[in-house]
Amino acid sequence: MGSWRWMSLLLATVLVIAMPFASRAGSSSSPAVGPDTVVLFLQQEPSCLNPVADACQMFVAAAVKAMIFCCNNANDAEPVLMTSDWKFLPAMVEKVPSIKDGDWKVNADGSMQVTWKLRKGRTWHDGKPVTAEDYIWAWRVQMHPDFPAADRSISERVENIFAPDSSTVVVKWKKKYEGANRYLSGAGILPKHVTEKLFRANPAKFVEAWGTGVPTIGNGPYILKEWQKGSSMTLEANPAWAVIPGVLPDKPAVRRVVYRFISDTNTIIANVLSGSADGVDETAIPFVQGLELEQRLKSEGRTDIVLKAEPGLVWEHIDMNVDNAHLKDKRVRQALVYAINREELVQQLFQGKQPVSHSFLPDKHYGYNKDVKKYPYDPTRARALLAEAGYTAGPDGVLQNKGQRLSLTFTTTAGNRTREAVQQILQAQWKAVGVEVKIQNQPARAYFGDTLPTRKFELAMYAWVKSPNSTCESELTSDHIPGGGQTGGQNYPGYRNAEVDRLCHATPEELDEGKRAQMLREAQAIWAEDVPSIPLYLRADYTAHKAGLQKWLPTSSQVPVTWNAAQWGWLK
Amino acid sequence: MTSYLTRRLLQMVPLVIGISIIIFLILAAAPGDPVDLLLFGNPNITAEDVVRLKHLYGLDQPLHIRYVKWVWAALQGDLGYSRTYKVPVLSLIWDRVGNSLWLQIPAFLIALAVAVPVGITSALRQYSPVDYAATFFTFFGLSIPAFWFGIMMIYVFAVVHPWTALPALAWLKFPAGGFSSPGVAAGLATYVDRAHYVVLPALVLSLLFMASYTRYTRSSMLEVIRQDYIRTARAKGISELGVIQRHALRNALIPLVTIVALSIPALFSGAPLTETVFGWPGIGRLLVDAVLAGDFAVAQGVILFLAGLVIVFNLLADISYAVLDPRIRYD
Repeated sequence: MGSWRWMSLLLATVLVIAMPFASRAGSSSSPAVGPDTVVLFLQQEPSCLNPVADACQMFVAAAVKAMIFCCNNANDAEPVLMTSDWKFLPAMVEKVPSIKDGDWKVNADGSMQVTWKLRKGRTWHDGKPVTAEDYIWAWRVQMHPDFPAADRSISERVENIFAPDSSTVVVKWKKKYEGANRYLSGAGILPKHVTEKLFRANPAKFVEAWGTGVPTIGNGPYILKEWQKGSSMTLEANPAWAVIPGVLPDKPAVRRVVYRFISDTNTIIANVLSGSADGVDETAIPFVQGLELEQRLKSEGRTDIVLKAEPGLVWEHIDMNVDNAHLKDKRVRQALVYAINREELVQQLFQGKQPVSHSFLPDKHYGYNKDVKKYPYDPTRARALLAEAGYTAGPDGVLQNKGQRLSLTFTTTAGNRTREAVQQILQAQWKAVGVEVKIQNQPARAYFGDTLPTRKFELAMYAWVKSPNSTCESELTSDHIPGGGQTGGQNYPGYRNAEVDRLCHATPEELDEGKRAQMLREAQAIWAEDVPSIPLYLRADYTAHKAGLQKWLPTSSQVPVTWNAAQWGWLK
Repeated sequence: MTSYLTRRLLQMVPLVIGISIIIFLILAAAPGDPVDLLLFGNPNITAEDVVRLKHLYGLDQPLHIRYVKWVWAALQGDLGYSRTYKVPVLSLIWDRVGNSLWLQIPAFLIALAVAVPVGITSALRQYSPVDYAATFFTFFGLSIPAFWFGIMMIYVFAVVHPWTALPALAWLKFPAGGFSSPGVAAGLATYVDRAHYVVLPALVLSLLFMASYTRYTRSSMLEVIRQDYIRTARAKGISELGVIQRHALRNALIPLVTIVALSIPALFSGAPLTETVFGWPGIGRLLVDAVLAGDFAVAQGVILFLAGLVIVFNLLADISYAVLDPRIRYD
């Protein structure tokens, strides 16, 4: 048959054409564009860059704002800079206030007064001086009733702010608050001379009116030059930026930083491999793809691209709804934890690079309790606890108690490959001790928007993003249980414990870090005994950068890698 | 004709109202309004904050009031603000349609330029190697997923570019996704730069068009060349080229013209998969992103815009039939 001959010829041609594609990519350690430019790829695009608007608080916006505004810690544009080793340094101010020095006063009634001295000679991008009024203005905007600020949890604690002179800010706090030397007011800074008119014209539309394009006047080391929506953003070094000795000691060596927005992670990885990307931040490479990329780079012997993954503050866990007939019994909850082998799980799925967690706080947190009750893999113990709770083997192999089968639904975000793999492993291990678990996943919208806030779940797996200073008030206290028509509060398991309530309510008002740590450790001990949630593992986020790019320092926290972009430089 | 037009235009009114209600209800019925989702990103938001924000955004009002307000604003040309981009929805749609056309028109032209000659040749030389190659190629084009093919193109032309060793082929390297280089001077340079970016996505996108147009051209050509009048033309002694050009091709292209005309509104609606893989800020990606991000104003606006396009192009198609084909009369 002639046609067969032709088909095989065609096939052979295709194979020959495809062959060279198996060859290796070349080295790409040199800058993508030039020695004065860094090209970063982001998976998402910031919506806006207004430091007071919650709508602009997504992580990617923080990454850009960390360069335009000074400086980035847990909130944007606070005068204090958080470093990659989680130290807080005075950037826009001469010093960080402290009780010892007397510029942080605690009154007998618990109210406080904190005095900040601004550094002299700092300017906005348009050359106007940064003054105390700019900090006060930001707080007023955030507290305005018509301004759609969502999170006022810090700024609401502030009674008033005033400026005795243009470089001094005095902040009066209503009651004790431990973060008063990290946050000036929780609202950051806004250029009053540029934004006042716009804000007063329509406070409800202020987010749309300013910070959504060029010019967005900031006070940081970089200036927003161009923003092509949906495509790219170009920042240029601020020529008027004065170095801050001991904090950001060098003039920006990188004259231009270009952000490119590509939503497909495979395409981002292709750009890393092709050398078009100089750096990729924490949000762009999913962990599993990062592992694959790491192996690939290793097997090809490529040293031109550096991949980093440090476990940080993202806590993956499973909430157990304690109002469920089975899960209200502590012994059942404990048995569910004993029944699963988390060490093996992280080894199998993540090569151990995402470590098992044992507490609601990450182990880098100052208040982490290393002696917290850990639940090693112990199926025998699990069976014994379940027997103690009154469960006996049913006819179908599933345990039952007074005719009720121990069958639970297990929900997470549909389409998340890692979470689905975890689910299948856990489901099998629970089945081995006689617990039936049915997987019922949902799209993220329905899951986070409805199922969790209304507590319509039995087992729910998701993550919380902690900060180096997280406490436990909103996630563990009984007055933060949502549901029953009430929304707000993130105590989704419905955990109630009087002592944990007391400790978690008291920590934000305890000014002594040592005592605060002690209280958090106590809360963790009680919590670990009660286990309203199964702590799974701490997530690690991959960043990638070219080996020639110096001082790339991910913080493995909510502070983006761009926190020190003014110090980056290319190896000559 | 006038009465027909009036009737068609009047019929569009209930259609548009119906579509707008469906669009509004489906998006409003989806669980998790923007404020609920905000809550999840930030554990510090209190119940009072949620109530305050829902009131500020008008989300606490009953559905029918929200619908009437939306329609009233839309009639005045205000489709609201994007929650994600903080810009008016209308200007966002306008920009993105422009971007999509930048990608779609080249893809469409490439597809036509390849499909018509290949389809004709393949029909005239049925069961020849050329025909087999073309058939193989069209099956390839129809069955290959755009996102996979896109990644492969990026991999070959942007990552490995195996012909690096050959200086003559050095230009065969294209950007791995994106839309334009930041900081390119305005004017001609912009177009040259944009053209560089459009090559890979346009090729990927054109493959799908190309495959189906080739199939259509081939089959309609095959049908036509067996007609009696072709034999008559040959019997008259007209040269083979003349037979093909004047008699076969003209008749064979009629179905293709219909298909092509019907795909014109699709050009405006973008290509979500290709646009996502290549990071192309087109309207297809805008719609997908808006739905995923709960950006209701944008999703509603884009769907309404696309629905409007379909209605208008259908009407135009019906009118053009009457103009083109004297046998059709609307009275």
